[in-house]
Amino acid sequence: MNINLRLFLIIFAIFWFVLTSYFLKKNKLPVKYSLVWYTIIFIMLILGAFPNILVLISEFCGFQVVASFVVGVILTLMIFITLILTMIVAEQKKKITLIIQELSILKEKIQNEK
Amino acid sequence: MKQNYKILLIIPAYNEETNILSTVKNIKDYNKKNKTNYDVIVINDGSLDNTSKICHENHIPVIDLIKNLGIGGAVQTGYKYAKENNYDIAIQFDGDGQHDVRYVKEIIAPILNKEANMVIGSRFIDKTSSEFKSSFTRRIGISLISSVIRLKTNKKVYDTTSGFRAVDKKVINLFALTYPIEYPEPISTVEVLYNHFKIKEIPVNMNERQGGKSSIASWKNIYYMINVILSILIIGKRVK
Repeated sequence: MNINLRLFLIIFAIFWFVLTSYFLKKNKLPVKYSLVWYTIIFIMLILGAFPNILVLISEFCGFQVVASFVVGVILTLMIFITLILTMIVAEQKKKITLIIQELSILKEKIQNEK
Repeated sequence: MKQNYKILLIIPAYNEETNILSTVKNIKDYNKKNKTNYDVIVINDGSLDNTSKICHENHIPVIDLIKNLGIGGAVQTGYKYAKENNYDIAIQFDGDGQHDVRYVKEIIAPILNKEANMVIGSRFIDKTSSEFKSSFTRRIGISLISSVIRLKTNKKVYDTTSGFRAVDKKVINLFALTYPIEYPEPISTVEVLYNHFKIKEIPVNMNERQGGKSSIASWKNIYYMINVILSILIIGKRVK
């Protein structure tokens, strides 16, 4: 594997690690979700350090270029994360709807009692 | 017998300042003339115009949703209100003058006789009775949805998108708990059928809308249809 790609992978992983830790510290990212990112970063570091694993897997999967394998994996991961986010958003929308409804009914009740 | 029943008309309203007063006034006049006691609750779905102000000034019972929820969320608020206040029958009634209060008596009759849990005021059940004109594509869409519902539930519902419907206490409880926020009319119909409640359709006349906009915009028709059909098929899987 190209040394530049390996370097890029490692630098990117470190950058990502710092970013995730920063948001975690600022309480913007729940610990629950940070674990997913840390796992991904960890895998990236391992692959950057030992590229042979990557070459083996990508050949096994039938990719001709390792780089396109990396892109493919990341893309799959992103789609998966987007799907989960869509579900979380839908769940939140349900809860917000419930709050708006109950609050509005309550407000009407209070106004009537005045 | 009739006096014992508590009956509520749920009127969802989004920017209906031109129609809401006359709609409610018609109902009140009808109550006076026919000695009925239909209660009214307007659900103001975060209107940007004077809908809320008009209701408050004229002492019309109104729930102001603090944010716009769309037709499904607004109507469900009405069902929740009906459940909390122990209503026996809830009727969904449009605020734009499309629905005629004279038909309320007819659509609640099957519920009073225990023939049905839900009654839909239908535009298409009897072709001669209705002069309601809707676009050709819309008719095709409605009949296609109708076919899918029949395929899944063995029940022919002609006017699946009619917003003029009455439900009994059991269905009020169901709707208060769970009501489809998107594409509410056809999907709630299917949910009622999957829960083994009885649906009856009664022919009604509907007026051309006097103002306001349909919740189903014409350019969205195809998207709407695909969504509804997919939802119907999926709800079936969920119940089994």
